[in-house]
Amino acid sequence: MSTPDDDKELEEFLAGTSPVSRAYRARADAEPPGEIDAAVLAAAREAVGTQPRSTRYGWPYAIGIAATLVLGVALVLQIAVEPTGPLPSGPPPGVRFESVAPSTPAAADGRAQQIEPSRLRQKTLAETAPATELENLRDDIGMPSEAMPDSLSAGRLPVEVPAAPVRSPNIARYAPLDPVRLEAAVTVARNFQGARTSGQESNSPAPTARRFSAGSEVAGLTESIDADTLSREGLDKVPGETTDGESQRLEAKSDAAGGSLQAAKTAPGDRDVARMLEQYDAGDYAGAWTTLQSLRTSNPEHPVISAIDSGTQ
Amino acid sequence: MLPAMVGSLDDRELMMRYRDGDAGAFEQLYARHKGPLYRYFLRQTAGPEFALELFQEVWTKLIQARERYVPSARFNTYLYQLAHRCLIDHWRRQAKAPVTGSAVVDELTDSGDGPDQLAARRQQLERVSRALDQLPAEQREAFLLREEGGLSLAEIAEATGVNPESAKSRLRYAVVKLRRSLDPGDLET
Repeated sequence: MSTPDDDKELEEFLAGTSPVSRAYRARADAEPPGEIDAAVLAAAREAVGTQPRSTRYGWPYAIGIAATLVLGVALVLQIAVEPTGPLPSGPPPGVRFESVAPSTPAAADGRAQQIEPSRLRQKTLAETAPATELENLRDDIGMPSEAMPDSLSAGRLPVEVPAAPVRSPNIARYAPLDPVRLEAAVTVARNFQGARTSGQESNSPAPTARRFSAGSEVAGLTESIDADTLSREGLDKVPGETTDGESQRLEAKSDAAGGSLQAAKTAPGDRDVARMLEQYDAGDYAGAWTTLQSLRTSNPEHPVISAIDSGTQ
Repeated sequence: MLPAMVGSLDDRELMMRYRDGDAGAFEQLYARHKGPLYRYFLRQTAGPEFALELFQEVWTKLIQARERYVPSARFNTYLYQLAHRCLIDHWRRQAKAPVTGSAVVDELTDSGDGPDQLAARRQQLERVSRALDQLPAEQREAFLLREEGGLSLAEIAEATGVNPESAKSRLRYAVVKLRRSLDPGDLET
């Protein structure tokens, strides 16, 4: 049971003016030992030192920083490895281009009208490139030494020098596919094969320019076959130009080539010729081109190769 | 943050800073409360060794629970709520709450008074200690929570888990009994 005096004494105590408070505070103020202070403070520092300052910067933040550093170092190393000079954009030294295979048939037709066949001439390297450069060029285009045309060995390059292929073990070391040359080869090969199988002069025209519609350039290329070569291969016996178009003239010359080649005996590369035609008809132009290059490598004296090479010189 | 600025912050701000990793804030907080908390235990246990054990237990729990600290109440209330629970557990382990005069001897050892003054203070301390020892544990704790922790009646009630009237009653009885137990000379000090 509390009395009014007790309540008054409590109020004084709560106000800090009670004699009981003064008596208690007069006692010695005990403090924990210093080693306890050090232990507690060390535990507090260790607790915040072993954990992140805030949950916002947890392990994802650390992983992000690490990934950024790795990418940055990789980029710097990549830049350091790359050459500092400008990238080579032109052909190898000593090689000059005068025409480039068109990317579209329309462009091919248009340019064939602008460029005279006579301008599709060859440039010799004898003036500018020594023999070592020819060897380097042969290596760049991936052409075996035994497959090097006589014209190239003599210091003459074809007009359209193929770009250096990517050096990869999975890619054949042949010149890149040239639609004009492939179509011309197919035309010659069809007539050659027809002559082989029928034993008589082929009466059906070869399906020239069926795939690439580059008849004008094919005609121009075929026209560049000089008279001596045609005479040597028996291709000069053209039965006359019966049509007005360029492809008809090409067909006529191709027929003539087939007619002259029929007299030739079976050559070791006939199987490659047939395979090339099959691949071409199947739409495998890359395969047909590879087979043609293989034929050129394995049997450079094959009548089809001779006819094509003589036409490109 | 500069130490002077840390010193001007209240306890809740210091605790939040420590929660976010500021060890300097904890040092300031510890410096403010280490003495009162230690004496709170020292007056209610059998000796300094028990007081130090409970003292470290409270600070360890505070460090471990810093991530969960929410400044919903005054820091003193939070601190002495932890201390009260540790003390209850200690009493349960000891099966009783004995209080002896050994703590008085330890406190006097640290003083720099002369022999006569030391003897007079020893007698006074023994009287105050005996008066505190004679109080029931709940009344003694209520008195210490007010004197050492500076808690209000409502905060004493919250820290000890009782209603405010019970806390007021405990504190009133403690003050009246202490006044009656002490010599008039002690009260005039």
